[in-house]
Amino acid sequence: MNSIVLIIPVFVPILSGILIFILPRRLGGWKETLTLLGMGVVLVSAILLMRHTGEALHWGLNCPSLEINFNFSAPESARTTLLIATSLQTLLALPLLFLFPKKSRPNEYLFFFLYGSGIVNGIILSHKYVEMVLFGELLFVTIYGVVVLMGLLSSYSTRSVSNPGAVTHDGWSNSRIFILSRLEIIRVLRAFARLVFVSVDRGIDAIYERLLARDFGVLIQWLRKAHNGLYPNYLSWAVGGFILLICFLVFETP
Amino acid sequence: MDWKISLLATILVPLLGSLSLPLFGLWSARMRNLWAIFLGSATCFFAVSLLPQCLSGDPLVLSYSIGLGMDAVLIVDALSVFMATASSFISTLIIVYSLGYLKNRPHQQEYFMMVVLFLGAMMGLVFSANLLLMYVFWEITGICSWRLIGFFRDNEAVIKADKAFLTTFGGAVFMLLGFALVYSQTHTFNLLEMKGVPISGWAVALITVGIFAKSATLPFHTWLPDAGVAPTTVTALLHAAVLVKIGVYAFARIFNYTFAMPPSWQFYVMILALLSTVVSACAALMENNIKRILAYSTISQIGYIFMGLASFTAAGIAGALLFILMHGIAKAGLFLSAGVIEHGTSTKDISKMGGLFKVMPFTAISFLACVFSVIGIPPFGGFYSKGLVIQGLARSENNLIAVAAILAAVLTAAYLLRLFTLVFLGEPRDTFLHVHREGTPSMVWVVASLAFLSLLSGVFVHYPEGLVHTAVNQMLGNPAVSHVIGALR
Repeated sequence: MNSIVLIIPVFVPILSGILIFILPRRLGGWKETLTLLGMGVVLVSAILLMRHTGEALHWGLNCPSLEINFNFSAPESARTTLLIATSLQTLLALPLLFLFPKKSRPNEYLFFFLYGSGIVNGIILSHKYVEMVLFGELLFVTIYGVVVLMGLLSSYSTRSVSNPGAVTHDGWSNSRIFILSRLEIIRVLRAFARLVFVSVDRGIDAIYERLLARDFGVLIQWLRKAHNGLYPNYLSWAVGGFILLICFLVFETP
Repeated sequence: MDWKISLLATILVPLLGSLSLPLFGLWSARMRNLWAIFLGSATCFFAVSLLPQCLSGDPLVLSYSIGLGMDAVLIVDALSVFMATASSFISTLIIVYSLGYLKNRPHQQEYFMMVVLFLGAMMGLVFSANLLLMYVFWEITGICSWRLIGFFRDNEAVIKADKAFLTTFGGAVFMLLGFALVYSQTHTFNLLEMKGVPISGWAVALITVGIFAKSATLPFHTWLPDAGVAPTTVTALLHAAVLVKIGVYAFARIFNYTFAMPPSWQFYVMILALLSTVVSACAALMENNIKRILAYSTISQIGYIFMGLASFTAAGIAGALLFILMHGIAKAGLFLSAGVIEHGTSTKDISKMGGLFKVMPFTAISFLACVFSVIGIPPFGGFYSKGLVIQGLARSENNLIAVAAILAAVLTAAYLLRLFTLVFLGEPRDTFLHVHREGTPSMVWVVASLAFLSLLSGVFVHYPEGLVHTAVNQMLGNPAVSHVIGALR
């Protein structure tokens, strides 16, 4: 089997998504056809990869001038994961195709879905950690894009009826954060962050503050008195330190 | 130009020049400002003039006897020149930005003197190949940071400055004890005579405490977010150019370049660095103060640098060194953008902000570019450094740590994009917040330059990479490190 099949699950959804994004909205039916076609091709390539029994497949793109070296590979674990992922993506695409046309920005929604699917497949087929990081971050930015889009749409719906130009308290940015915090994964992340922040970071800081206020309080007062701006004071520090250094060197040097 | 003159000028021009700044200030504020910019630029120029020497091959050493059997040993190699160039360049940009930011503020004489002295001490430290000399410059930076953090003189600023000073000074005392242990073992403070010498775990522990305290790494990190009470230019200097990078540099010089670190300690350092990365990323996600968020971000990213260095792989070390440059540029850009925002809104609370994109488009775009670099999105510089560090972790067969580092990268994206959204998008959440303009031209120019540099450093990554490769090769010359790296060479 040609190793080019490795790039199909990554680039076909991304390209389909971009095509859908730039296609005029009035072209009815094209979006749905392209989505189904794209997901079908991806699913078939995943099945073909799963059935492949020969030498492990490997696809690479080297660009030495930019020091970029992309590699996709499909060991057995990746092939299984890819098949599960593409099956879920195809299953998810079917209901979404019926839901999205009713939304006010179906092209953007479908673009994000297909683009996100391609990136997820990229993470699965990544040969190196660096590529995994790249695709992971692209996925995060895509999710961020979706959240912003949802926030924008939500803000339009919350505009005051009596004054359509004015944005209400649940305006753009607020609704974005509102939606962001409603996402389950963000909730879990925030809960984890809060736990770590309160228990570890604030815990350590409480120790420092206690030391600073109580145990080092006397030292700080002493330091403020010592740092009084008088030249002889600083000179005595320097001379004292110098004498200590000499003593150390005289007694330690064999 | 003779490399010896360049080397001495790189250290002495800012050190001695800083003492003359108040005199210029008595004459004219304008002259003092110009003199400060000149001192920064001259330091950068002399540091850059050392590039051909360090790229040409073996390290160059300048040694002066200062009596009592002690030598002031200075070293010019890729590592020291890389650090000196990056720090002096970013510091100079920060000095230029300060002119607009600190306009009409009191105590400018002391401010410019301390900033340039800070730069001079940093230069002295990076070129030192003697532990005692390093310690002296180390403490000068501690004193400078103390005065600069307490710049506003109010009670809170003084308390936070004391906290920073006590933490870093306490760490330095432990580090000095570590140096004494090393001396009792080797009978020398000269790093060049100790190359490849294995040192005890106790010495590693004591020196690491000092380094972690200076670099604000868990559990000695809480002074850095608190240092946000200082002027923005100072925080940018502490985070991007000088202070926290000192610890990282000392780690590279002492453990990667010189001594043989016990393998178990490599793992402990990596674990501590990872914990520091994750905990501070979580803290950044919870904070609402823009400067505290960026401070926690610094602690988080410094963790990556330590992970890369402690991986003792060529990729990890190269990534960590590139990280110092990329993070320095991007974080300076972020802090200085935060300064523009604070200047315009008179608040640091991001929960009151929103919609600033419309009134500060240049700052917003610059901020976003720097955010992308810190997150590590290609083609920004941060992508290459973060990628190499993670690759280094994987190559050192610490796969779990590598995976955790990837997850921490997602956390980085989460808190920085949250910050951007709350500050620049939507509408202001506080009805009393009225911003009508960008920052002063010098402020916006510096911020835009740093954002552009974040992009350029990624597109033309092979230029800094050449210097980094030389530094890594010189480190691989350390027999202890090459033993660790083994087949990866």
